[in-house]
Amino acid sequence: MYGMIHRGVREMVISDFGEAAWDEAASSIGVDLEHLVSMATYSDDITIAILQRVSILYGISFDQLIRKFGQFWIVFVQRNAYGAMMDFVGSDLVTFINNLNRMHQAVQSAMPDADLPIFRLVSDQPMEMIVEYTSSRFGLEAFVVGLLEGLLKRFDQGGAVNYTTSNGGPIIFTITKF
Amino acid sequence: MIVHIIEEIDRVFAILPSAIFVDHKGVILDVGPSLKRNMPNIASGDRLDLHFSWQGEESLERWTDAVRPNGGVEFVSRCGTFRLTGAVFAAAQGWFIPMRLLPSQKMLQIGTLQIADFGPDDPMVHSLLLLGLQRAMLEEAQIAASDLARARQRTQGLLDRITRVAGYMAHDFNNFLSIIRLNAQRISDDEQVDARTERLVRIIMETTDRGSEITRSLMTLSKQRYDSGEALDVSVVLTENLAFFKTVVGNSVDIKLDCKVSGIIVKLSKVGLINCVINILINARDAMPDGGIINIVANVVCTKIRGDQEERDYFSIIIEDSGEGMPSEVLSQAFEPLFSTKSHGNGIGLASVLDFAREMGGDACIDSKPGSGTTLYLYIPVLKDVAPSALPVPDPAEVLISRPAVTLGKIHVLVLEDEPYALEALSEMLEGWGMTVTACGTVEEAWSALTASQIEPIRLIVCDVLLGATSGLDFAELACARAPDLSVILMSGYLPDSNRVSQNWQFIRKPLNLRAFKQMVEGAVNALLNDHGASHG
Repeated sequence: MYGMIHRGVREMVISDFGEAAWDEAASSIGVDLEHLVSMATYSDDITIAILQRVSILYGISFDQLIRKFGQFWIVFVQRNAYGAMMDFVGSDLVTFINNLNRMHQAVQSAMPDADLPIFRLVSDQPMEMIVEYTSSRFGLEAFVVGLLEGLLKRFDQGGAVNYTTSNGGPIIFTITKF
Repeated sequence: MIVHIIEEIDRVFAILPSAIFVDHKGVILDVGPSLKRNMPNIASGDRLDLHFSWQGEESLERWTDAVRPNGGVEFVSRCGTFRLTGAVFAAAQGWFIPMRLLPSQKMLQIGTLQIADFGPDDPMVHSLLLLGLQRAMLEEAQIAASDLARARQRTQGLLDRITRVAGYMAHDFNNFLSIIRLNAQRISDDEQVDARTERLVRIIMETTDRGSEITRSLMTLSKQRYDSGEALDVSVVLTENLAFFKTVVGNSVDIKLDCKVSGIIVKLSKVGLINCVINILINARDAMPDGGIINIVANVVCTKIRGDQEERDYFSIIIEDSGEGMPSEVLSQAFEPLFSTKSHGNGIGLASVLDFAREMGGDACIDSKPGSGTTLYLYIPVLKDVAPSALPVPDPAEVLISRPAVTLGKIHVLVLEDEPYALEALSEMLEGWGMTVTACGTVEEAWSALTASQIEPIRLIVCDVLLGATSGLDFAELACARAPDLSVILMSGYLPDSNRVSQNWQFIRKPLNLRAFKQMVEGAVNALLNDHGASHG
């Protein structure tokens, strides 16, 4: 995982619980600011350890936490240096999702070791949108739910996100619009 | 074909969002969605030259006369934010011009562009995404660096406070050790003390010495530098203290010392070296909870350390344990202050080792792998052609046997010390040496005593430097201004500001080395008596 993810988690925790809470959580797992260097890559174990510790802090499950973090992530990157890029990618949910892979391709060019997922807009109907998600990483479905919820909010759209998995195949996210 | 394109103009504009459709007179019939978005004022019916200019700045009429099908064209928006390049295709109604948008620096800075402004396979999109990514990563790096700097500043601030507190605690602890030593000396001075009591006093003295070594470590870390060093044969120091090192690590850990060289002289603080080795041994011991072996090898190596232009001789001390070793993420922080993996650790030990090695002109490094133990390397520059220090090194735990009392001459000494027990013990000791003593616990008392008329004037001041809120240095300055012939001995756990210490004054560190203190007092008394004799013929 990238240091920027850790920075995002830190900012979320500080925003909700204060700096002392983060310091306590980080020191208990031996994480310091050297682990937040944005473009450096760290072992996924560190990211998971951070999130598990933080989930205890919040008193919620790991899945609930990464969903919350997914929502926060959209706000975090928008507020930070990547906001301009997000604006470039699209000004509505359909365009954004359709162009997301192009953004990921650019990220892949800059960071060849990056392991980025693929999104495909399967269909967009007045009441429902279906997005197909493919990734080599497992267990991040709740995070993607949070991301999509964050995007809905960003584009001032109402909706609920659910997903279905298949054995080894892409995960299908269904956005029910309201 | 052009007719078909015109009929499906919306679908065409979806693929070519910056296309322009004009009639033969150059009046705009329609434009793609990208141009509508980036040029809100553009409208059907507008002249082309209202919104664009082209090379040569020729008039619209001349342009329409000159334009040819399949010819290339380039427009520049009147607002100056982008260029368009494309080709002209003939249509029944006029010219269809599919164009690519080439954003200017100004447009990039404004940040209004979207992927939708380009065709689906336009390579400009990838370039712009990379450009945006580069900027974002740079900004992220700056934010992260700024965060890191602020955190380091906070840590440094905390470290500064801790080291100051460590210094204060060390000072206070030194005072208590001084009191213990002085009163142990009082016990020893008792004529009726038996051999067992003498032995117990010796143990007390030894223990206060070890305690003072710890306080000196703390003071080093709190930037209270002590002795700058003496010429030493390190092999001798290590050999002489091997028994003590063994007590530090305990019975379950075996220490093997191999001095491959002898007679090699380095300049360093002996106490600092012993502290340094103790800190390393403590870490090694803690890494071997079930026991193990520590190998200490002393040798001379010819090598380069940080900052060296060429190789030179270094005295190397290699301390290797058979412990559990460190993973790489722990190893990388082993020398950092306050870093510790031990629940009871304070993170000062190895930090002070590196601090000491560098202060002595050398360096330290560490090598470790999980399951393979840890090896610490100390490098100290070798001195050429220097003999070991000629000054006699006071024995640790020395006990002054002062029976019968040694008379130093009837000199009136003023003792200023705010610790009552220390004052009592010092006064008794000086009186036991035959001196007349005025004991004062505050500067006010001392000044009153100094200025009062005395049958026997005060000739010598023995004065603590830190006296609560007041300073012994201030008192000594005032006293010497009043009576320039006064002799002064300052005592403190801290090194006073050397600019304020007069050339004629003497300084002794706490806890007092009693032999050195007595020599100092003897020297001062002899000088005073000689001066008196000289002035009286």
